[in-house]
This record gives sequence, structure tokens and C-alpha cells, in this order.
Amino acid sequence: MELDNLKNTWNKAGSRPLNINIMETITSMPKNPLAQLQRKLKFNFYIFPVVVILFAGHLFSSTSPLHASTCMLYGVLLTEFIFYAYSYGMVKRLQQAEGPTRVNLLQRVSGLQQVMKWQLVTNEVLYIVMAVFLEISMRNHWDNRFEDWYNIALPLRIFAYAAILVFIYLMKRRSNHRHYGHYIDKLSDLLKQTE
Amino acid sequence: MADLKDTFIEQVKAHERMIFKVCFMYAHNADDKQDLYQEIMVQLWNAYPRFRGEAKFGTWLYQIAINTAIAGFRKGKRTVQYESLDPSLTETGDSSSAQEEQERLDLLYKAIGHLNEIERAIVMLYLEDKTYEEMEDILGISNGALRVKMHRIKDKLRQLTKQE
Repeated sequence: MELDNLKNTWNKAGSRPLNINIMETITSMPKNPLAQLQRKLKFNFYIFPVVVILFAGHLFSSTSPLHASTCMLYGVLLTEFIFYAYSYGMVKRLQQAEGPTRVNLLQRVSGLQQVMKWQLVTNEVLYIVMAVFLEISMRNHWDNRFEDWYNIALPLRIFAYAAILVFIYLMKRRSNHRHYGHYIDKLSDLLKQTE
Repeated sequence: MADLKDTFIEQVKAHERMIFKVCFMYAHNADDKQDLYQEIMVQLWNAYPRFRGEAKFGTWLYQIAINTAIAGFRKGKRTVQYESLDPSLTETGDSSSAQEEQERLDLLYKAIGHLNEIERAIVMLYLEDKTYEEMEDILGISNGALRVKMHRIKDKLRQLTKQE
């Protein structure tokens, strides 16, 4: 049996109307893997306003001072917020299914790898900035809540910072793999099939 | 907006058969077929405002439907349970030769199910009588590579149907 023998049957199939309400169908929620990822990223948007509200007392109270470390926390969260907005936009764009299959697959793979790489870099850089800022703030006595930590010898503190940096890197890499890894592997496999 | 929707529905209805066939090729049970159909429709509607008519509507629709089916669709369960193409359409009669023909068709269809996603797209476009140039526009694979792939697919299908 040759493939050409199937043509006649194939061309007859699906000629009957499906009676599906198209308008109802297009308003439904997309279920593709990127849409699910987009919804997860959207959830992260809500963390920033929640934390701002939690610490908002400092902004309006004259008795409880606004510590340098709290300002730093806002800065870090704002940077994270901007990054999530970028990732959200990127993942939304990657859902577009137009274009030749090979080109579309290439765009998805490189786009997701870019999001993944920047997520890792942003986290590491933010952590280093936080550690440096903390050291400066302790040296200048801007925030007395970290006096105990400042009394620990500098080499030990540096070791602790490095250990946390490695831990964050490993955790983030693991979570990235869980969120994007399997899908990127699948897309890469599909790309190979087009070669 | 209402005009856009009306034009969209009209054009999609005229090409509904294509979407149905993509669902048939990539989803293997009724629920998955319905989910994939829905996902393709959502993608088509989202992309429709960007459709400028530079490519044929059919080519554009095939690109979106195939891309959604292979890269943007999560199947319920990865078990391959092939349903017949459409029982009423593949019935060839009551005679023993017709039944034999039907069995061979089913065998070939099952063999297609063993191909990878891109090979299945090529087979589908081939069955739709698309030229290699049209396949190139849809899949982004060069004409030469498509011919080589088609040759290999035919060999693979022959071997698979012999094994069954």
C-alpha cells in the first residue's frame, strides 16, 4: 500500500460541516505551554505591590524610620518587577504561531533561552548588588539592625555571600529547567527534525 | 470589530476542513482533537489582525495550524490510539476485496502515526496535493530537503506496513 492510495480517502475526509461555534471557541483561554508560563509570570507581578503594601508603614510613619535596607529591598523588587514585565512580554510574543514552521521554532527556542539566561543573570547581579550595598550600609552604620552580622569576620561574611550566591544559582537553574527546560528540549528536537 | 469577526468566520469556515485534518493528524482522541481545534482557533483569531494577505489565506492558516499542533499544544496523555479517519468515508463496501483494501488503509494510517511531527506535516501536505514550493512556504524547509525527506518517508512507511 502506497501513500498515494490514501489520497482519495484523505481528500474526502472532513468535508462535512463540523457545526462548531467559532466565536465561542476563539474566546476560550489558550492552553499551550507558553500561555501557562505567561500566567505564572503574571502571578509574579502581584508580589511587588503586596510587599510595598506590607512595608508601606515606613513611608508614612514619622516614628519608624525608613531603613536603607528597606530602600534596597524596594529597589531589588522593582528591578525584579521590570524583569518579569520583560519576560511576560517576551513569552506573550513567542506564542505567535505565524511564519514557516522552522522559523517559528527557531524564534521560540532562542527567545526562551534568552529569557532563561537573563533570569539567571538578573538574579545573580541583584544578589551581588544587595551584598555590596549591605556591606556599605554596615560600614557607614546606616542600618543598625545588621550590627551582629558586621561583627563577624569579613572573610567569613564573604564565604557566606559566595555560598548563598551558588545556592541561588543552583535553585534558579533548577526552577528554570522545570519551567522552560522540557519545552525547550521538545522544541530543539522538533528543530532537528526539520534539518 | 464586528466586520473583522465576520470576515474571519467566513474565511475560517471556508477552510475548516484543513483545521480538522491537522487535528486529526496530531491529536489521537476526541478530547485532544477538540482542545487542539480550540487552540488553533484562538491562535488564528489572535493572528488575524496581522494577516496582510501577502501569502494565500490557506498557506497562512496551515502555518498557524501546524505550528500550534507541533509546538504549542499539550496533549492530554501521550498514548497513541488511532481512530479511523472517518468511518463513513473510509468504508469501501462489503466485498472481501473492499474489506482488504480497508485493512490496508488502516495499516498505512497507523504507520503514519509512527512518523515524527515534521514527517507527519510533510505527509499531510503531500496528501493535500501541495507542491514542494507550497510546502517550503509552510514549513520553511528547502525544496531539496523536502524531496529527500518525502523519499525517506515513503520508504519508512513501506517498511512499517510490511512489519505490521
